[in-house]
Amino acid sequence: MNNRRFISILLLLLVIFASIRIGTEKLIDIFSPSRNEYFIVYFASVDATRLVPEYRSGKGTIEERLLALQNGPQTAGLVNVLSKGARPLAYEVRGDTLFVSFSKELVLNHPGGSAGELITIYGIVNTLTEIPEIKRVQILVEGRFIETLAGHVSLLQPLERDPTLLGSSLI
Amino acid sequence: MIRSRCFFYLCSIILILGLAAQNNYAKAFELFIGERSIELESPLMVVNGKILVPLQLISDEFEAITKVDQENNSIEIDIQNDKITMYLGSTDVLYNGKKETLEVSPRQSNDTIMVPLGFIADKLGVNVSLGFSEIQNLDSKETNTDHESPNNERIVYIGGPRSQIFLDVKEYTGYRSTLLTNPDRLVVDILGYEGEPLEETIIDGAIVKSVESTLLDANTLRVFFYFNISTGYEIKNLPEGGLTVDFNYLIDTVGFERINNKPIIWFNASDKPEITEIELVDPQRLVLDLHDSTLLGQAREYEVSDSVVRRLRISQLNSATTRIVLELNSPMVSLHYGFANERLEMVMFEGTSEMAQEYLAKLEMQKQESETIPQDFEVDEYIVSEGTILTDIESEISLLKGRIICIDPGHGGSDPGSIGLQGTYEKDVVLSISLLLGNLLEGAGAKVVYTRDDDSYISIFERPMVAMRHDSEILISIHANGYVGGLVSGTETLYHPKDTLNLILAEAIQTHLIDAIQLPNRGLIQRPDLALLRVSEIPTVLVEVAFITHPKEEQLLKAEGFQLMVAEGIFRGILEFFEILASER
Repeated sequence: MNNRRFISILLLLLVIFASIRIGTEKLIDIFSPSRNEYFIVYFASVDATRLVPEYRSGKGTIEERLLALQNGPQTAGLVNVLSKGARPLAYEVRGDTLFVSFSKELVLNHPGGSAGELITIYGIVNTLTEIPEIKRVQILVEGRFIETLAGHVSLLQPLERDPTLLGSSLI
Repeated sequence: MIRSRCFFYLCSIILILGLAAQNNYAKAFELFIGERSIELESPLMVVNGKILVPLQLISDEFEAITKVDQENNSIEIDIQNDKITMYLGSTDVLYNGKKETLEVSPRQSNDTIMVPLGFIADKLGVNVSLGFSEIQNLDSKETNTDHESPNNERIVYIGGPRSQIFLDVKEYTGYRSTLLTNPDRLVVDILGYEGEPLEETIIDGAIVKSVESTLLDANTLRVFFYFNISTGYEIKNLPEGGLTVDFNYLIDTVGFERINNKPIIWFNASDKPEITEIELVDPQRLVLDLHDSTLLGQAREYEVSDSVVRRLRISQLNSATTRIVLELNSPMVSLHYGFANERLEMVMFEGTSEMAQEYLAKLEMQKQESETIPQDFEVDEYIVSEGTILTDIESEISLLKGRIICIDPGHGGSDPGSIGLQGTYEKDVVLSISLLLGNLLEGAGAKVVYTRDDDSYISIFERPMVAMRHDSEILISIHANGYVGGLVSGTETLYHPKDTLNLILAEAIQTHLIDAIQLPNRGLIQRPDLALLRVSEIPTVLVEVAFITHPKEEQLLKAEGFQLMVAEGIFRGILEFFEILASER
């Protein structure tokens, strides 16, 4: 009973706010941030089963996203997808494919295992394919093609986004 | 079994209170069968704490028909509907035709045939107890002295595993003791003693040669225990009066060896001491503390050339404990411990104690399942399931016979795969598992193709090609998983969704593998992007057995016992896959 009353009060408040928003432009900025000012970076769940989005402020350029991946998650309970010490070195867009080169630590410091490999690869690919113009990502190491990062997934061709690994919550 | 053990404990406790095994003091005993007290005419015999009674007593009291065949030394005892056949000097016994083992063998003493009472009483379900008239009369000293002469204080050798000696002294205020050498002897001073020195007693047992005593002064009795071998001891004063002296088990030699690849720690000991087992990590060690034991000779250390055991040390930790330390490469715990091959053997399990327990539980289950099929489990109870698996194979052999199965040990050569915190390489453990799996498959009549059977590198694109070139019907790729943080654990099986056979194979293997190794089930994972799964055109799965980055699972992956269980689990999965295939056709 109390819950229902609480919800109805909440709804009423929302309607009031909504009407204010329509009335004044300033409030719109606060209540509905446009996509350009917030972007998504994917980090891994502690159990290595899912990629979990973290929201960052910024325009969401390739540089911003790569830097966010390098710096790691800000949420407790999320795990960095890049290997320890791995840095993005360079990138280039060709058509709808993004070529990104990482430092050799990406391979050298990788813990291995297919679970760890998938998390790293699709943490990168899914974060970068959030950009609408980018459909595929080619991962390079020190500017070169590598057969595989940890011995399971071929990196000799660009990879598409993998929505099956995405999870929305930490739980 | 438990009942008989309790019975023996009870007996030994009562015995401690004053049994004279080699003298005629057994008269002081009352043996109760049911509620009835039995008058003992001839003495009981005690061997290693177990009681033997004259055969005549059995025939009299149990209304048994007994027959002794002097030619083949057999003793037949017919009681009601049961028939027990024993053999002089042998621990073999037939109970209604079924072979069992006695804890102590029947023997002949002064033309009297002595048989173990505990076994017979246990089989008859008869409650047997020993009473001791002196104990019953302890409250009233008058009654006691009525029985025997006033100065009946004496030295009684009780024997048993700890060569117990009973000093039957009633009045004293305390004692002190010390071990002396040249000659090796234990000296016990009994304080506040009033009376005569005790009669010298020749024992000539494993530890004590003889016991003598003198009066040190008017109030002190000094008792000397002359040793054959100097050893630790334990003195207890009994509330009913008197002192018992127990001597430590003697530990002579110790060693480690493999019998049929079954790791065994063995040692020569006077009897079976209680052992406490302590597992230590960093570095991995197993500590065995042998209680109430004395090591003969100096502390010593042995180099062991074994894949698991590096070194073995033995030393006397304190006056009551002998310590054996094994330096290990991977965890190892004991499975069981007992006399075998005329020494004490501790059969070991390569893996952690949890794994060992699971393994034993599994073995017990399999044993129960196959109870209908007569199998001699005693022969090699702890050899990993070859025997039990064979029963499966017999029915399934037609399923696997002639099949070509490709096993792909992940990584290899320059690619170590995932690396555990202790430096275990994925490429090494998956190769071991693969070879064990290959053996099982070949044993069931299948032809096994390996993408690699040594530490060499092979491309992930080439691996399925090897399988297909050899006309393999299925491809099983074996891996160990990895992830940062060392917290993630469990088993998963990856497959490509392009063919339902992949899913069927993955499901069969994952189910049986989880059954076998009981790690967290991370389930089936559909992965169209894994090179091996994508390129392969035959039913293919990639098994991630466990996380090598998880400290406990790294230990497991290294352990041969665990590797065998993995191989067994996958093997059963493969069997089920072909079973499903056969039933659909």
